Amino acid sequence: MAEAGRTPCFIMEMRDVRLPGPAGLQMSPERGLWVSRRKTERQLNLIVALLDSRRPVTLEEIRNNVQGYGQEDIGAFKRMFERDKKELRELGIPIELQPTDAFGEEMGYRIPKEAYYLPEIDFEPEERMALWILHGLVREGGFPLGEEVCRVMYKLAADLGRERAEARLPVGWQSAEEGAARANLALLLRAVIEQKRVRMRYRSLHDRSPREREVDPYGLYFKHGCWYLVGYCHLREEMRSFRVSRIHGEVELPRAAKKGPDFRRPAGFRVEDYANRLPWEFEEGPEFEARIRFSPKVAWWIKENMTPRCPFQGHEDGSGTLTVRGRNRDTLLAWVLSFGEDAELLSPAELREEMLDRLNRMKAAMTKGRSRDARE
Amino acid sequence: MPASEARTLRLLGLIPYLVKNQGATVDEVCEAFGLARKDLLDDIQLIFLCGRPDYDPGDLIDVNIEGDRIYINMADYFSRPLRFTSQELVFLYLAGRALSELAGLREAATFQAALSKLREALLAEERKVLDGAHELLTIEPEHRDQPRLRMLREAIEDGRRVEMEYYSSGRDVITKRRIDPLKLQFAEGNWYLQAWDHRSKERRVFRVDRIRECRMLKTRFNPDDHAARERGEEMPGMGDFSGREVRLRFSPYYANWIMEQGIFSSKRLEEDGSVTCTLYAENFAWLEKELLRYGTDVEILEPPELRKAVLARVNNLLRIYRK
Repeated sequence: MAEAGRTPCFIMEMRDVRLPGPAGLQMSPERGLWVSRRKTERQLNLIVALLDSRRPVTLEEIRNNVQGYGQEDIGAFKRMFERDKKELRELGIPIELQPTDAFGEEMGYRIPKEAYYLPEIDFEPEERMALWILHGLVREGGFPLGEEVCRVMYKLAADLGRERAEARLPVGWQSAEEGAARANLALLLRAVIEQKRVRMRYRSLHDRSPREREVDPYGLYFKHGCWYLVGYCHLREEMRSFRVSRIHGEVELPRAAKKGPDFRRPAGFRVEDYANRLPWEFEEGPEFEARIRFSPKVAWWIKENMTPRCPFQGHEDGSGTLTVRGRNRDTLLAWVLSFGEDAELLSPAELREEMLDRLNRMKAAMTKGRSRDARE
Repeated sequence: MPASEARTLRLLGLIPYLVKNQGATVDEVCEAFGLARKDLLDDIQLIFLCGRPDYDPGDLIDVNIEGDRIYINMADYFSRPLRFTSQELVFLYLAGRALSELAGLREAATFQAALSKLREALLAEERKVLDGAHELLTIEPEHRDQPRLRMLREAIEDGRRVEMEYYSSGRDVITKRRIDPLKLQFAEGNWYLQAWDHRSKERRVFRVDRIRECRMLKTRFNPDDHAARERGEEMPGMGDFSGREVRLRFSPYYANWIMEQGIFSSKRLEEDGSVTCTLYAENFAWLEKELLRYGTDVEILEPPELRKAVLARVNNLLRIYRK
């Protein structure tokens, strides 16, 4: 069973499993897979034993009775059990420590049935189909939460029935988000939900090297193929957005040991307010209101994509005027320029001046060395 | 998540599926769990070795494959799957909301109904987490229910030809075309439509937001006539190294950003912190405008006619702003 194709799975296992046995034993792919398999087997048997038992099962009973835990060395047994328990709890399996009898002298482990079993869900046929469609879409890859959704679907499958032939859509997803971002995502999501402060090394777009920051994570959003974290940055002492893929290394939770939330999210916080920001609404600077006229060639696109967020006035010849408010002058000027001659910034006068200055500098830079009269 | 933990979770779903659907076929189970046949058989081998102490034959889970159908016995303790965690439901909820709103899926309302049933299955305190999550997490929020996407999806499913006015940014013109729509693809914040273009007589990718007008025609087409080429269909515009070579130098201010962008190749960080890079472009109209955006932070090294064209646009703009 150790085909070359399975090697990545083996490599992942290497991180987690410390092998018992003589030090000289060579680790082979066969052995790696075998260890992984034995572990899954052992964990399933543990779940059965704790789920099926009428009373809590003591450590001694686990060691004596549950397949896979018969280690000679009690220390090795305890380490293995602790590791398995931790992993299973992380998977959401409710392993509880309870007294084995009314006297409470002896403690044992149990998985209460009511906390483990998912109640039966009675889906309508269309609802099943909608869930299968979702599954089909995310499974093709590229969807930002694809793997996570597939794992939820394992639990749902039993109640979703067997008819799923039609559940295909001519729709697909693609996102370029890198693996590093994915690894941090689950941790950030947890930090957002539990309101735990995060520490990370982050290189912003114009930084030369990453800097360590602590952030109170308020929310996460996915936009234009990337995940972003919104939160209060203790380095900058203000609200900031961070692109998750620009975080170097792993995110840490410096106060993970402390119970309860590390901060309070301001009432009325909505992540969409940040996700929907236009580029020129970021950063400091006095607020301005600008009017931009667009030619008939692009005005229809502006209308469809910028309204209702920004007021738009259409004109008879098919052109139109857009009104925007913002605080970042540079970004707005750049955006207007990206429409070439199809856009003209009409007001305010000082922003128009800035545009003229920018254009003059561009011309000077492009003609330098060829002619001295760059400014005509 | 390490592979073995993912596998444990899968098995905790697979066993209840087999219990509830006795006689399910191997193919069907592979499809439902996204497994290759040999992986499923390997899972079944593993299930076969599990059970309750003392692991006598009568204590072990009993799985039989008869013909191609799977039967399972002695697995009563796994007759139901493990509960969801609120975090898992948050993922499902986010994905479902994003997909149904973003794609304007007809199934959006049904999906919401299914989600509220799932919500009921959560424990009370977990429900609170889920209910708070929509304020904290979102996927592509600015795209809302798009009637145009719904129309295109209908055209794809029914195999109906579409007539549209399309703004081609590459050439900076609006053209009228007839297309046979084949697939919708969401990438990097935009919807793209793969279609057979009767104007160019080839398979093309169109950005949905650049369709100015479109209507479905009565004419039907057979999608098999436009079978996909081997490659190059998936990622519109990206990694496409055809077209003319353009060499650019960006100032240090944009260095990090350029390094992140997949569209540039042969990137080189220069000693002064600036970055030189290569880009391939079929048409220059869009590129000329895009380069205006970077002002004096970009220098066009090659080809000279691109530099000339951008300068011409700067001159045109100067005339506009000097008025």
